[in-house]
Amino acid sequence: MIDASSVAKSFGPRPILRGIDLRVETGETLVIIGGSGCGKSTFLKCVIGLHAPDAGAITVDGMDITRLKTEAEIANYRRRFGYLFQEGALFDSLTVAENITFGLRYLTDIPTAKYRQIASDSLALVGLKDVEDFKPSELSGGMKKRVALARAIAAQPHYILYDEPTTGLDPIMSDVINDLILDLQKQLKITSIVVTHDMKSAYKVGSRIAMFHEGRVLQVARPDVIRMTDNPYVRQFVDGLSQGPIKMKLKEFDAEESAGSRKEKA
Amino acid sequence: MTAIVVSGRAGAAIAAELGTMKVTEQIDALYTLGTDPVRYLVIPRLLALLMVLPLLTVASDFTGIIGGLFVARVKYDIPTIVYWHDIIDNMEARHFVHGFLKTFIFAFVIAMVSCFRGVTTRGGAEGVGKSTTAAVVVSMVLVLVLDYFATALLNAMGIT
Repeated sequence: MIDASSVAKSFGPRPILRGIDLRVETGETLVIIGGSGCGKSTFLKCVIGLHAPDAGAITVDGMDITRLKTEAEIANYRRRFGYLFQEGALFDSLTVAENITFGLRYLTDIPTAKYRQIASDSLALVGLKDVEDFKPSELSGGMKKRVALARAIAAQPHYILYDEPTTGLDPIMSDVINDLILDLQKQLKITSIVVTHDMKSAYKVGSRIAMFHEGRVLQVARPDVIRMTDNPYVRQFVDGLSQGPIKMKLKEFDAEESAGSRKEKA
Repeated sequence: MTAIVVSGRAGAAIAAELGTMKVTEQIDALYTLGTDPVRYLVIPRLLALLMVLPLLTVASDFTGIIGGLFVARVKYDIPTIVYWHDIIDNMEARHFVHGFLKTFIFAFVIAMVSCFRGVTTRGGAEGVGKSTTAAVVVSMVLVLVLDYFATALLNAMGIT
């Protein structure tokens, strides 16, 4: 179980998270949706410890990330997670097999002799084979995502954090990745957080959906409830409309100018 | 001189490589896979420069002497034997040690500046370009500035 309470994070003067309370139950797939810059990726990075929250606590299986001190504690925490990066983030100097087994050396005690087998098994789980000796630059976008997913599951994590797993893929490949996420959840009983702005994917893989807006959680509910939501912010987002309470500026300077002129009038 | 060339060549390579790794989230990926990015990326590069820059400097010292011989022979018609005599008479081990010791300082500076610029890169391809330029410029300037201080220090220690 991942339990976040009043998590806040700013980058310089810009607040990104303004108090996130969110609980992810064991075995579920929580989807986080929200516009660009709403803090959903930042939240994911706080959970795995890439960013340290300024305030609040994130507790995973009773361990509070903000209180971990020794290297052993941190390693024990990180071992529970697999992380799928938006662009895959495969190491381009290593082969596919080396990429997949990279974390095993640091996160597990598995002997090196078994690495090859684990690489093939992980690739099989994401529907690939005979690509072990390719370099990432020789793979297509969809294959890179799959290899990155294979790397995320190689050390048998309890949790997988997906950062926009379907972004940049064609619709068919996106759906294949969705199927993979569902498949992994069923086969490996993994708890996941999926950050996305692809509503089709959110409805399909999510057991619950949380909407972020300006660093806060607007609504957390099952996909069928979100589909029927009457929260105007969530409504606008799931319908994908440019008009509504969420102001996405057509031109960045428009909003600032109008805000400026409003101030002048006042 | 060697340090300047190396800061251009190796410094740029380090900053560009680490910068690209940073913007494509590969450094974050290292972290999530249980590796300390500093230990994995920075320390090997620092050690490599600490080993290679002194060696390169020795090589360039010898090249300089041979180059001098060539000019002396061809341009000024100084016999080879005279040139060698002068070299051996006038050059002392401490001259060589002086230059050799400084290379370690330069290697450290180039590695640290370039790695730091690399891992703090932000903002895509443009960011990589910026941090590469910054790494080269800053390490070259630091090499030149530190050269004065290192020379003063070594002179004070009697290694001139």
